[in-house]
Amino acid sequence: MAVTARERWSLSEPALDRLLRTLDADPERAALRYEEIRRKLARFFEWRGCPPAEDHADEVLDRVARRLDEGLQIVNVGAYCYGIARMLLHEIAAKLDRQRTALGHLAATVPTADDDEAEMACLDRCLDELDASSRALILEYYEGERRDRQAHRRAMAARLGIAPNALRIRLHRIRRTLETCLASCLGGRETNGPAASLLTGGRDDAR
Amino acid sequence: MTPADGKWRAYLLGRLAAEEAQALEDQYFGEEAVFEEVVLAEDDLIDEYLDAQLEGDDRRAFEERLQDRPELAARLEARRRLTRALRRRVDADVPPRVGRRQIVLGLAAAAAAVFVSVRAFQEKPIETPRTSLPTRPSAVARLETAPPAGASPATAEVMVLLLGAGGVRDKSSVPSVKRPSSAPALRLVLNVGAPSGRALEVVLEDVDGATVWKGTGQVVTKGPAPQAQADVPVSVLAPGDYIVRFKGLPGGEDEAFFRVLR
Repeated sequence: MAVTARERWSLSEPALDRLLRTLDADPERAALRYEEIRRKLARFFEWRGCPPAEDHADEVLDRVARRLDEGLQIVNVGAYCYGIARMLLHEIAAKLDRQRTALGHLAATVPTADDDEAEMACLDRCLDELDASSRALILEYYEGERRDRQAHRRAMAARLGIAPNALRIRLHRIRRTLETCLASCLGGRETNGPAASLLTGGRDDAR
Repeated sequence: MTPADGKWRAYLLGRLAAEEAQALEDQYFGEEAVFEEVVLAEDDLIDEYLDAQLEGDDRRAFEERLQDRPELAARLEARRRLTRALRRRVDADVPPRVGRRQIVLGLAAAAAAVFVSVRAFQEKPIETPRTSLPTRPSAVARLETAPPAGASPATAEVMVLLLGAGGVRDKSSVPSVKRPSSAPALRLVLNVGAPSGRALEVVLEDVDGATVWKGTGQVVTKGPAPQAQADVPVSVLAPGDYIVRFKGLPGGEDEAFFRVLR
Protein backbone atom coordinates (compact mmCIF):
# COMPACT_ATOMS: atom_id res chain seq x y z
CA MET A 1 0.00 0.00 0.00
CA ALA A 2 1.28 3.39 -0.89
CA VAL A 3 2.10 5.52 2.07
CA THR A 4 3.30 8.66 0.46
CA ALA A 5 3.28 10.71 3.63
CA ARG A 6 5.56 8.23 5.30
CA GLU A 7 8.00 8.49 2.40
CA ARG A 8 8.34 12.22 2.92
CA TRP A 9 8.16 12.33 6.67
CA SER A 10 8.96 9.75 9.23
CA LEU A 11 7.95 9.72 12.84
CA SER A 12 10.64 11.08 15.08
CA GLU A 13 10.86 10.66 18.82
CA PRO A 14 10.06 14.34 19.52
CA ALA A 15 7.04 14.12 17.22
CA LEU A 16 5.80 11.01 19.01
CA ASP A 17 6.34 12.72 22.37
CA ARG A 18 4.33 15.67 21.16
CA LEU A 19 1.51 13.41 20.06
CA LEU A 20 1.51 11.63 23.40
CA ARG A 21 1.53 14.89 25.31
CA THR A 22 -1.43 16.07 23.28
CA LEU A 23 -3.29 12.92 24.20
CA ASP A 24 -2.67 13.31 27.92
CA ALA A 25 -0.25 15.10 30.18
CA ASP A 26 0.30 11.91 32.12
CA PRO A 27 2.66 9.64 30.11
CA GLU A 28 1.00 6.43 31.25
CA ARG A 29 -2.49 7.60 30.42
CA ALA A 30 -1.21 8.99 27.14
CA ALA A 31 0.23 5.60 26.20
CA LEU A 32 -3.07 3.91 27.00
CA ARG A 33 -4.97 6.46 24.99
CA TYR A 34 -2.57 5.99 22.07
CA GLU A 35 -3.17 2.23 22.10
CA GLU A 36 -6.91 2.72 22.38
CA ILE A 37 -6.94 4.96 19.30
CA ARG A 38 -4.65 2.61 17.42
CA ARG A 39 -6.89 -0.39 18.19
CA LYS A 40 -9.92 1.47 16.93
CA LEU A 41 -8.14 2.61 13.82
CA ALA A 42 -6.95 -0.90 13.06
CA ARG A 43 -10.44 -2.27 13.45
CA PHE A 44 -11.85 0.56 11.38
CA PHE A 45 -9.61 -0.29 8.44
CA GLU A 46 -10.24 -3.97 8.90
CA TRP A 47 -14.00 -3.59 9.06
CA ARG A 48 -13.81 -1.39 6.00
CA GLY A 49 -11.87 -4.13 4.23
CA CYS A 50 -8.52 -2.39 3.90
CA PRO A 51 -5.66 -4.61 4.90
CA PRO A 52 -3.09 -4.40 6.32
CA ALA A 53 -5.19 -2.62 8.91
CA GLU A 54 -2.44 -2.07 11.43
CA ASP A 55 -0.18 -0.43 8.89
CA HIS A 56 -2.95 1.97 7.99
CA ALA A 57 -3.58 2.69 11.66
CA ASP A 58 0.09 3.55 12.07
CA GLU A 59 -0.05 5.69 8.97
CA VAL A 60 -2.92 7.72 10.44
CA LEU A 61 -1.08 8.22 13.70
CA ASP A 62 2.03 9.25 11.79
CA ARG A 63 0.07 11.81 9.85
CA VAL A 64 -1.47 13.22 13.01
CA ALA A 65 1.94 13.40 14.65
CA ARG A 66 3.21 15.19 11.61
CA ARG A 67 0.44 17.80 11.77
CA LEU A 68 1.27 18.41 15.40
CA ASP A 69 4.94 18.60 14.52
CA GLU A 70 4.07 21.26 11.99
CA GLY A 71 2.39 23.29 14.72
CA LEU A 72 -1.25 22.44 14.21
CA GLN A 73 -3.38 22.67 17.35
CA ILE A 74 -5.64 19.64 17.66
CA VAL A 75 -8.24 19.71 20.39
CA ASN A 76 -9.82 16.29 19.97
CA VAL A 77 -7.14 13.93 18.74
CA GLY A 78 -9.48 10.93 18.59
CA ALA A 79 -11.94 12.68 16.32
CA TYR A 80 -9.11 14.09 14.25
CA CYS A 81 -7.64 10.60 13.81
CA TYR A 82 -10.99 9.37 12.59
CA GLY A 83 -11.10 12.18 10.06
CA ILE A 84 -7.63 11.32 8.80
CA ALA A 85 -8.59 7.66 8.71
CA ARG A 86 -11.56 8.40 6.50
CA MET A 87 -9.37 10.42 4.16
CA LEU A 88 -6.87 7.61 4.00
CA LEU A 89 -9.68 5.20 3.31
CA HIS A 90 -10.60 7.21 0.23
CA GLU A 91 -6.98 7.25 -0.89
CA ILE A 92 -6.76 3.52 -0.47
CA ALA A 93 -10.02 2.94 -2.30
CA ALA A 94 -8.74 5.00 -5.19
CA LYS A 95 -5.44 3.16 -5.40
CA LEU A 96 -6.17 -0.28 -4.19
CA ASP A 97 -6.29 -2.95 -6.79
CA ARG A 98 -8.58 -5.11 -4.77
CA GLN A 99 -6.23 -7.91 -4.10
CA ARG A 100 -8.13 -10.72 -2.61
CA THR A 101 -6.49 -13.05 -0.23
CA ALA A 102 -7.18 -16.60 -1.19
CA LEU A 103 -9.71 -18.24 1.04
CA GLY A 104 -7.70 -21.42 0.97
CA HIS A 105 -5.93 -20.74 4.22
CA LEU A 106 -9.26 -20.52 5.96
CA ALA A 107 -10.14 -24.08 5.33
CA ALA A 108 -10.32 -25.93 8.58
CA THR A 109 -7.17 -27.88 9.06
CA VAL A 110 -7.54 -31.40 10.21
CA PRO A 111 -5.31 -31.71 13.22
CA THR A 112 -3.12 -34.75 13.51
CA ALA A 113 -2.76 -36.67 16.74
CA ASP A 114 0.53 -34.88 17.39
CA ASP A 115 -1.15 -31.52 16.83
CA ASP A 116 -3.87 -32.50 19.25
CA GLU A 117 -1.39 -33.48 21.90
CA ALA A 118 0.63 -30.31 21.54
CA GLU A 119 -2.50 -28.21 21.50
CA MET A 120 -3.85 -29.78 24.64
CA ALA A 121 -0.53 -29.47 26.44
CA CYS A 122 -0.39 -25.81 25.51
CA LEU A 123 -3.97 -25.25 26.51
CA ASP A 124 -3.29 -26.75 29.92
CA ARG A 125 -0.28 -24.51 30.32
CA CYS A 126 -2.29 -21.46 29.28
CA LEU A 127 -5.14 -22.38 31.59
CA ASP A 128 -2.65 -22.69 34.42
CA GLU A 129 -1.53 -19.15 33.77
CA LEU A 130 -5.03 -17.84 34.32
CA ASP A 131 -6.22 -16.93 37.75
CA ALA A 132 -8.46 -19.55 39.32
CA SER A 133 -11.70 -17.69 38.83
CA SER A 134 -11.02 -17.01 35.15
CA ARG A 135 -10.08 -20.63 34.62
CA ALA A 136 -13.25 -21.85 36.30
CA LEU A 137 -15.33 -19.35 34.38
CA ILE A 138 -14.05 -20.29 30.94
CA LEU A 139 -14.36 -24.01 31.61
CA GLU A 140 -17.89 -23.57 32.86
CA TYR A 141 -18.72 -21.56 29.79
CA TYR A 142 -17.44 -24.25 27.47
CA GLU A 143 -19.34 -26.94 29.30
CA GLY A 144 -22.61 -25.47 28.17
CA GLU A 145 -22.12 -23.09 25.27
CA ARG A 146 -22.75 -25.64 22.55
CA ARG A 147 -26.38 -26.07 23.47
CA ASP A 148 -27.60 -22.49 23.50
CA ARG A 149 -24.82 -19.95 23.87
CA GLN A 150 -26.92 -16.97 24.83
CA ALA A 151 -29.13 -18.84 27.27
CA HIS A 152 -26.06 -20.36 28.85
CA ARG A 153 -24.46 -16.95 29.22
CA ARG A 154 -27.61 -15.54 30.79
CA ALA A 155 -27.77 -18.41 33.26
CA MET A 156 -24.12 -18.00 34.18
CA ALA A 157 -24.51 -14.26 34.60
CA ALA A 158 -27.53 -14.75 36.85
CA ARG A 159 -25.67 -17.23 38.98
CA LEU A 160 -22.67 -14.90 39.26
CA GLY A 161 -24.90 -11.91 39.93
CA ILE A 162 -23.50 -9.81 37.11
CA ALA A 163 -24.96 -8.34 33.96
CA PRO A 164 -24.86 -10.63 30.93
CA ASN A 165 -22.81 -8.09 29.03
CA ALA A 166 -20.27 -7.89 31.80
CA LEU A 167 -19.89 -11.64 31.63
CA ARG A 168 -19.62 -11.45 27.87
CA ILE A 169 -16.78 -8.96 28.13
CA ARG A 170 -15.03 -11.03 30.75
CA LEU A 171 -15.29 -14.17 28.66
CA HIS A 172 -14.05 -12.29 25.65
CA ARG A 173 -10.96 -11.15 27.53
CA ILE A 174 -10.21 -14.60 28.83
CA ARG A 175 -10.57 -16.13 25.42
CA ARG A 176 -8.32 -13.55 23.82
CA THR A 177 -5.74 -14.14 26.51
CA LEU A 178 -5.92 -17.87 25.87
CA GLU A 179 -5.77 -17.44 22.11
CA THR A 180 -2.68 -15.31 22.45
CA CYS A 181 -1.11 -17.77 24.83
CA LEU A 182 -1.96 -20.74 22.62
CA ALA A 183 -0.51 -19.09 19.54
CA SER A 184 2.65 -18.26 21.41
CA CYS A 185 2.94 -21.70 22.97
CA LEU A 186 2.42 -23.48 19.68
CA GLY A 187 4.95 -21.23 18.01
CA GLY A 188 2.29 -19.95 15.67
CA ARG A 189 2.92 -17.15 13.26
CA GLU A 190 -0.30 -15.25 13.83
CA THR A 191 1.30 -11.92 13.25
CA ASN A 192 -2.10 -10.49 12.55
CA GLY A 193 -3.66 -12.63 15.18
CA PRO A 194 -5.29 -11.81 18.41
CA ALA A 195 -2.20 -10.62 20.18
CA ALA A 196 -0.35 -8.81 17.48
CA SER A 197 -3.25 -6.98 16.01
CA LEU A 198 -5.00 -5.68 19.02
CA LEU A 199 -3.33 -6.42 22.24
CA THR A 200 -0.50 -4.65 23.84
CA GLY A 201 1.08 -6.12 26.88
CA GLY A 202 -1.76 -8.51 27.35
CA ARG A 203 -4.40 -5.86 27.21
CA ASP A 204 -7.53 -6.60 25.36
CA ASP A 205 -9.64 -4.76 22.88
CA ALA A 206 -12.84 -5.17 24.86
CA ARG A 207 -11.81 -3.83 28.20
CA MET B 1 -29.24 -10.35 20.75
CA THR B 2 -29.93 -6.70 21.56
CA PRO B 3 -31.14 -4.19 18.95
CA ALA B 4 -27.69 -2.65 19.11
CA ASP B 5 -26.15 -6.03 18.36
CA GLY B 6 -28.30 -6.19 15.25
CA LYS B 7 -26.93 -2.83 14.13
CA TRP B 8 -23.34 -3.84 14.72
CA ARG B 9 -23.85 -7.11 12.93
CA ALA B 10 -25.24 -5.27 9.93
CA TYR B 11 -22.19 -3.04 9.99
CA LEU B 12 -19.81 -5.96 10.38
CA LEU B 13 -21.46 -7.79 7.51
CA GLY B 14 -21.30 -4.74 5.27
CA ARG B 15 -25.03 -4.23 5.15
CA LEU B 16 -25.24 -0.60 6.15
CA ALA B 17 -25.41 2.35 3.80
CA ALA B 18 -22.34 4.55 3.88
CA GLU B 19 -24.05 7.23 5.97
CA GLU B 20 -25.24 4.73 8.56
CA ALA B 21 -21.82 3.09 8.72
CA GLN B 22 -20.22 6.47 9.20
CA ALA B 23 -22.64 7.34 11.99
CA LEU B 24 -21.74 4.12 13.78
CA GLU B 25 -18.06 4.78 13.30
CA ASP B 26 -18.53 8.22 14.83
CA GLN B 27 -20.08 6.48 17.80
CA TYR B 28 -17.40 3.90 18.37
CA PHE B 29 -14.56 6.35 17.82
CA GLY B 30 -16.17 8.57 20.41
CA GLU B 31 -17.14 5.99 23.01
CA GLU B 32 -15.04 3.10 24.18
CA ALA B 33 -18.12 1.23 25.39
CA VAL B 34 -19.62 1.33 21.91
CA PHE B 35 -16.40 0.05 20.40
CA GLU B 36 -16.50 -2.85 22.86
CA GLU B 37 -20.00 -3.68 21.75
CA VAL B 38 -18.93 -3.90 18.14
CA VAL B 39 -15.99 -6.10 19.05
CA LEU B 40 -18.27 -8.39 21.05
CA ALA B 41 -20.77 -8.54 18.22
CA GLU B 42 -17.96 -9.68 15.94
CA ASP B 43 -16.96 -12.22 18.57
CA ASP B 44 -20.44 -13.70 18.38
CA LEU B 45 -20.35 -13.74 14.60
CA ILE B 46 -17.11 -15.73 14.70
CA ASP B 47 -18.55 -18.23 17.16
CA GLU B 48 -21.70 -18.61 15.13
CA TYR B 49 -19.72 -19.07 11.94
CA LEU B 50 -17.55 -21.76 13.48
CA ASP B 51 -20.60 -23.58 14.84
CA ALA B 52 -22.40 -23.35 11.51
CA GLN B 53 -25.08 -21.24 13.16
CA LEU B 54 -24.51 -18.41 10.75
CA GLU B 55 -26.59 -19.22 7.75
CA GLY B 56 -27.79 -17.99 4.42
CA ASP B 57 -26.94 -14.44 3.43
CA ASP B 58 -25.21 -13.75 6.74
CA ARG B 59 -22.84 -16.64 6.22
CA ARG B 60 -22.12 -15.64 2.65
CA ALA B 61 -21.47 -12.05 3.68
CA PHE B 62 -19.18 -13.17 6.47
CA GLU B 63 -17.23 -15.45 4.15
CA GLU B 64 -16.85 -12.68 1.61
CA ARG B 65 -15.35 -10.50 4.29
CA LEU B 66 -13.04 -13.25 5.41
CA GLN B 67 -11.53 -13.27 1.95
CA ASP B 68 -10.10 -9.78 2.13
CA ARG B 69 -9.64 -9.36 5.84
CA PRO B 70 -6.62 -11.38 6.92
CA GLU B 71 -6.92 -10.01 10.44
CA LEU B 72 -10.41 -11.41 10.75
CA ALA B 73 -9.28 -14.70 9.24
CA ALA B 74 -6.48 -14.90 11.80
CA ARG B 75 -8.87 -14.27 14.67
CA LEU B 76 -11.23 -16.87 13.31
CA GLU B 77 -8.45 -19.43 13.14
CA ALA B 78 -7.30 -18.60 16.66
CA ARG B 79 -10.86 -19.00 17.92
CA ARG B 80 -11.29 -22.26 16.05
CA ARG B 81 -8.18 -23.65 17.69
CA LEU B 82 -9.11 -22.45 21.17
CA THR B 83 -12.67 -23.70 20.94
CA ARG B 84 -11.54 -27.10 19.71
CA ALA B 85 -9.02 -27.44 22.53
CA LEU B 86 -11.33 -26.16 25.24
CA ARG B 87 -14.18 -28.39 24.20
CA ARG B 88 -11.87 -31.36 24.22
CA ARG B 89 -10.60 -30.37 27.66
CA VAL B 90 -14.09 -29.91 29.02
CA ASP B 91 -15.24 -33.23 27.59
CA ALA B 92 -12.31 -34.98 29.17
CA ASP B 93 -12.67 -33.29 32.53
CA VAL B 94 -16.33 -33.48 33.34
CA PRO B 95 -17.51 -36.29 35.54
CA PRO B 96 -19.17 -39.33 34.00
CA ARG B 97 -22.80 -38.90 33.04
CA VAL B 98 -22.37 -35.17 32.67
CA GLY B 99 -20.08 -34.71 29.73
CA ARG B 100 -21.99 -34.38 26.55
CA ARG B 101 -19.48 -36.36 24.57
CA GLN B 102 -19.84 -39.17 27.03
CA ILE B 103 -23.55 -39.28 26.63
CA VAL B 104 -23.95 -42.62 25.04
CA LEU B 105 -27.06 -44.37 24.06
CA GLY B 106 -29.01 -46.01 26.76
CA LEU B 107 -29.50 -49.11 24.75
CA ALA B 108 -28.24 -52.40 26.10
CA ALA B 109 -24.88 -53.32 24.68
CA ALA B 110 -25.94 -56.33 22.70
CA ALA B 111 -28.95 -54.82 21.05
CA ALA B 112 -28.11 -51.18 21.22
CA ALA B 113 -28.22 -50.40 17.57
CA VAL B 114 -29.76 -51.92 14.58
CA PHE B 115 -28.48 -50.97 11.23
CA VAL B 116 -30.24 -52.09 8.16
CA SER B 117 -30.49 -51.28 4.55
CA VAL B 118 -34.07 -51.28 3.54
CA ARG B 119 -35.46 -51.13 0.06
CA ALA B 120 -38.04 -48.43 -0.13
CA PHE B 121 -41.66 -49.39 0.04
CA GLN B 122 -40.99 -52.97 0.97
CA GLU B 123 -44.35 -54.26 1.92
CA LYS B 124 -43.15 -57.22 3.85
CA PRO B 125 -42.69 -56.40 7.52
CA ILE B 126 -39.25 -56.98 8.87
CA GLU B 127 -38.79 -58.96 12.01
CA THR B 128 -38.62 -56.74 15.04
CA PRO B 129 -36.04 -57.86 17.58
CA ARG B 130 -37.71 -56.55 20.69
CA THR B 131 -37.71 -59.42 23.04
CA SER B 132 -34.27 -59.04 24.62
CA LEU B 133 -34.21 -55.31 24.77
CA PRO B 134 -34.49 -53.16 27.85
CA THR B 135 -37.88 -51.95 28.96
CA ARG B 136 -37.09 -48.27 28.71
CA PRO B 137 -39.23 -47.07 25.82
CA SER B 138 -36.46 -45.16 24.15
CA ALA B 139 -34.33 -48.25 24.14
CA VAL B 140 -36.67 -50.29 22.00
CA ALA B 141 -35.05 -51.03 18.70
CA ARG B 142 -36.94 -52.03 15.66
CA LEU B 143 -36.68 -51.88 11.93
CA GLU B 144 -38.91 -50.01 9.63
CA THR B 145 -39.37 -49.36 5.99
CA ALA B 146 -39.67 -45.95 4.48
CA PRO B 147 -38.19 -44.04 1.60
CA PRO B 148 -35.99 -41.07 2.20
CA ALA B 149 -37.76 -37.79 1.73
CA GLY B 150 -38.03 -36.84 -1.90
CA ALA B 151 -36.57 -40.05 -3.20
CA SER B 152 -37.95 -42.11 -5.98
CA PRO B 153 -39.84 -45.04 -4.50
CA ALA B 154 -38.57 -47.40 -7.15
CA THR B 155 -34.92 -46.93 -6.45
CA ALA B 156 -34.62 -45.29 -3.09
CA GLU B 157 -32.85 -46.97 -0.28
CA VAL B 158 -32.54 -45.79 3.24
CA MET B 159 -30.51 -47.00 6.16
CA VAL B 160 -32.00 -46.82 9.58
CA LEU B 161 -30.24 -46.44 12.88
CA LEU B 162 -32.35 -46.67 15.97
CA LEU B 163 -31.13 -44.54 18.81
CA GLY B 164 -31.91 -44.15 22.45
CA ALA B 165 -31.09 -41.34 24.78
CA GLY B 166 -29.44 -41.96 28.08
CA GLY B 167 -26.32 -41.60 30.15
CA VAL B 168 -24.57 -44.90 29.70
CA ARG B 169 -20.88 -44.29 29.53
CA ASP B 170 -19.93 -47.79 28.46
CA LYS B 171 -18.54 -47.28 24.97
CA SER B 172 -19.35 -50.84 24.03
CA SER B 173 -22.94 -49.80 23.92
CA VAL B 174 -22.41 -47.07 21.38
CA PRO B 175 -24.58 -47.82 18.37
CA SER B 176 -22.28 -48.20 15.43
CA VAL B 177 -22.97 -48.40 11.77
CA LYS B 178 -20.75 -49.04 8.82
CA ARG B 179 -20.65 -46.05 6.58
CA PRO B 180 -23.30 -46.73 3.98
CA SER B 181 -21.82 -47.17 0.53
CA SER B 182 -24.90 -46.89 -1.61
CA ALA B 183 -27.75 -45.43 0.39
CA PRO B 184 -28.23 -41.67 0.09
CA ALA B 185 -29.18 -41.19 3.70
CA LEU B 186 -28.94 -42.59 7.15
CA ARG B 187 -32.21 -42.30 9.00
CA LEU B 188 -31.69 -41.57 12.66
CA VAL B 189 -34.62 -42.62 14.77
CA LEU B 190 -35.10 -41.78 18.42
CA ASN B 191 -38.05 -42.79 20.53
CA VAL B 192 -39.53 -39.75 22.23
CA GLY B 193 -42.09 -39.26 24.92
CA ALA B 194 -44.86 -37.48 23.13
CA PRO B 195 -46.06 -36.80 19.62
CA SER B 196 -45.49 -33.46 18.02
CA GLY B 197 -46.87 -31.86 14.91
CA ARG B 198 -43.98 -29.46 14.61
CA ALA B 199 -40.98 -29.85 12.37
CA LEU B 200 -37.87 -30.58 14.37
CA GLU B 201 -34.54 -28.91 14.05
CA VAL B 202 -31.86 -31.55 13.89
CA VAL B 203 -28.19 -30.85 14.47
CA LEU B 204 -25.42 -33.34 13.97
CA GLU B 205 -22.09 -32.63 15.62
CA ASP B 206 -18.77 -34.38 15.64
CA VAL B 207 -16.81 -35.05 18.81
CA ASP B 208 -15.16 -31.67 18.64
CA GLY B 209 -18.53 -30.03 18.77
CA ALA B 210 -18.37 -28.88 15.18
CA THR B 211 -21.68 -28.96 13.41
CA VAL B 212 -21.43 -31.27 10.43
CA TRP B 213 -25.03 -31.10 9.35
CA LYS B 214 -28.20 -29.25 10.18
CA GLY B 215 -31.59 -30.12 8.87
CA THR B 216 -35.13 -30.85 9.78
CA GLY B 217 -36.84 -33.90 11.12
CA GLN B 218 -40.24 -34.92 12.26
CA VAL B 219 -41.99 -36.90 14.90
CA VAL B 220 -43.93 -39.85 13.56
CA THR B 221 -46.13 -42.18 15.52
CA LYS B 222 -45.77 -45.77 14.52
CA GLY B 223 -46.07 -48.53 17.02
CA PRO B 224 -45.84 -48.01 20.74
CA ALA B 225 -44.01 -44.71 20.90
CA PRO B 226 -43.66 -41.54 18.86
CA GLN B 227 -40.33 -41.34 17.13
CA ALA B 228 -38.20 -38.41 16.11
CA GLN B 229 -36.68 -39.06 12.73
CA ALA B 230 -34.18 -37.34 10.50
CA ASP B 231 -32.53 -38.37 7.26
CA VAL B 232 -28.89 -37.39 7.31
CA PRO B 233 -27.09 -37.40 3.96
CA VAL B 234 -24.47 -40.11 3.93
CA SER B 235 -22.11 -37.69 2.22
CA VAL B 236 -21.57 -35.81 5.48
CA LEU B 237 -20.86 -38.92 7.53
CA ALA B 238 -17.15 -39.62 7.70
CA PRO B 239 -16.12 -42.42 10.04
CA GLY B 240 -16.19 -41.13 13.58
CA ASP B 241 -18.36 -40.39 16.59
CA TYR B 242 -21.37 -38.15 16.38
CA ILE B 243 -24.00 -36.66 18.58
CA VAL B 244 -27.38 -35.87 17.13
CA ARG B 245 -29.69 -33.37 18.72
CA PHE B 246 -33.39 -33.19 18.07
CA LYS B 247 -34.71 -29.73 18.94
CA GLY B 248 -38.33 -28.73 19.18
CA LEU B 249 -39.62 -31.86 20.86
CA PRO B 250 -42.54 -31.45 23.26
CA GLY B 251 -40.10 -31.91 26.14
CA GLY B 252 -37.55 -29.57 24.62
CA GLU B 253 -34.53 -31.32 23.24
CA ASP B 254 -33.11 -34.81 23.19
CA GLU B 255 -29.83 -36.13 21.97
CA ALA B 256 -28.07 -39.38 21.26
CA PHE B 257 -24.64 -40.59 20.41
CA PHE B 258 -23.60 -42.96 17.65
CA ARG B 259 -20.56 -44.04 15.73
CA VAL B 260 -19.93 -44.41 12.02
CA LEU B 261 -17.39 -47.06 11.11
CA ARG B 262 -15.37 -47.42 7.95
